[in-house]
Amino acid sequence: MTGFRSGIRARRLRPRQACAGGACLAVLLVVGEAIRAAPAGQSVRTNRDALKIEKFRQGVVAYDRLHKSAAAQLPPLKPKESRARIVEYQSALAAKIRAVRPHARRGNLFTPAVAREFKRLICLSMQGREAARIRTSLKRGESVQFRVAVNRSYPPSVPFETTPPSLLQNLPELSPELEYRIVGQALVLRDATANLIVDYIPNAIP
Amino acid sequence: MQSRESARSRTKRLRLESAALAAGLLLVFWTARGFRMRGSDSPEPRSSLGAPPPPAPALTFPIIKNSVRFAVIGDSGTGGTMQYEMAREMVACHRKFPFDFVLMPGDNIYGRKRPQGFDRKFALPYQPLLDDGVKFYASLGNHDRTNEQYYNLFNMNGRRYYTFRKGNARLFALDSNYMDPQQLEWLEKQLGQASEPSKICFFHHPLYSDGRTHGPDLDLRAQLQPLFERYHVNVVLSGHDHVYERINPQHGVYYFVLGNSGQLRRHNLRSSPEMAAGFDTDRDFMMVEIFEDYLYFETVSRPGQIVDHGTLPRQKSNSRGQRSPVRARIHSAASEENRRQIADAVCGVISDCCA
Repeated sequence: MTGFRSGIRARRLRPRQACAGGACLAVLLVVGEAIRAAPAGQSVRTNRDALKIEKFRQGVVAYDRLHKSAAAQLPPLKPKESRARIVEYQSALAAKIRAVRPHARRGNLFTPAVAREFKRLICLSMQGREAARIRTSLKRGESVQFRVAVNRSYPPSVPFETTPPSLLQNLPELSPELEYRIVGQALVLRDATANLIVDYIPNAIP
Repeated sequence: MQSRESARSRTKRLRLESAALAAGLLLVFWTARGFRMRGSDSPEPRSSLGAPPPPAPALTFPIIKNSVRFAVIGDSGTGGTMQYEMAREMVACHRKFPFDFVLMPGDNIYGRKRPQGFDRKFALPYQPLLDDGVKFYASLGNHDRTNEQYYNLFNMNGRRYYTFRKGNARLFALDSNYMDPQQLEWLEKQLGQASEPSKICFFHHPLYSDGRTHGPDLDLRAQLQPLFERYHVNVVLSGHDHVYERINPQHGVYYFVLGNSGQLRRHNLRSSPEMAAGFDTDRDFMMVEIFEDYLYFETVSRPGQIVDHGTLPRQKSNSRGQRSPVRARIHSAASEENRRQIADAVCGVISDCCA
């Protein structure tokens, strides 16, 4: 009944008025759609965050390629090696990687935007019930301190601080050559085979 | 005038004497400090390497044919005198109880990772055992480097975490330094596929510990304990805290902390209701025999004293997957004498195991 009436009215409207009405309706529809899609605004933000992580992943893939090309120049490590060969391989690989990226600086992989996103992810994983557990684990792990610098070796006599599993679950996946390490408050990206510090975020652990 | 001069010279002499005394005291202090530091991590004199092993303690293992026999050493790789003495005790015990392999729950090589360090802190002290064909299976501790997974004598075959089978037991070596989702996924898959009745996990950081220095890793516990329960892991061996501790069964799993085979933190254990037995005044190592439903263990200290021993019945699970303790009994395959010995040995432990 209502539709029928409005139909009659529409027929009675002049063309100019009809145009204006149509435009109003279109505006209303757009506004309504925007209001309806309000939660989708968050997903846009998530995508932006995902883009940052994607950028980090691309950096990791590029480093992985670099690592593999450097490793390809050396005779590969067999599953069972002598102690001398292991030590020799590690230092040779580290030298080759350093030679390929001599000007590597902090922020090459952890760009400012990526570092902010990582800090946000770490804060998220250290909230709620898990926070106390992670903090206790960090406190009980052997806390380490040394001057972190890109392209330097992780000091061989300094132990590793445990990277809490709950934290690792919230951080982007890495290639097998790389790992996240905690040094004091910093989150360090370490090349495990070459024992090299690839990049780091200072004050990442709240 | 003369008296004033003599007083001056006396004061001067006194000052000189006190300065010399202070310097002497400082010298004594630094020397003592140096000796103390060197004493804990000094290289073993070559002459003592060939010294005959000390007499082994009276072990009470049943030593049944086809049983799984192994030893456990944790936080061992100091290269110090104590590690060498501990190793000699292991050699002595190996003559009485021929274990086939040794599990190492981490901190296998402390300090710098030079090739000679691998020798001094691992290959040399355990040379007699290696010569006898005893295999060492390592997991990584926080003082180890990832590349140790390639070291031929650690039998890790280039893997941070791995599993292997020995008789009716399936053993899992984990990397608790870096328990990433991939490792957890792998562990769940491997535990699900394991058909062996005995499942033993060994890794560095303890899920339960009463060591004052470190204590339990709660975040690791939150990730691993549900898997251990779901897939009926029987025994978990860890190190990190430089003490020995046997924990009362937690959610049906037996936990051991053994982090004093090379390092030691004296009087570091605090008493707790979770502790079944503890030892923190000397180095030690553990020997284990598994046969059918029973795990026999003895922990021997550096001077050759048995500090803990007992028999742990394998946990049985019902159709719902819930654990219930097995009634402890002495296995019939053991000889009459062994039965008596074990009965004497386990009488104080059985109540703990089945609690």
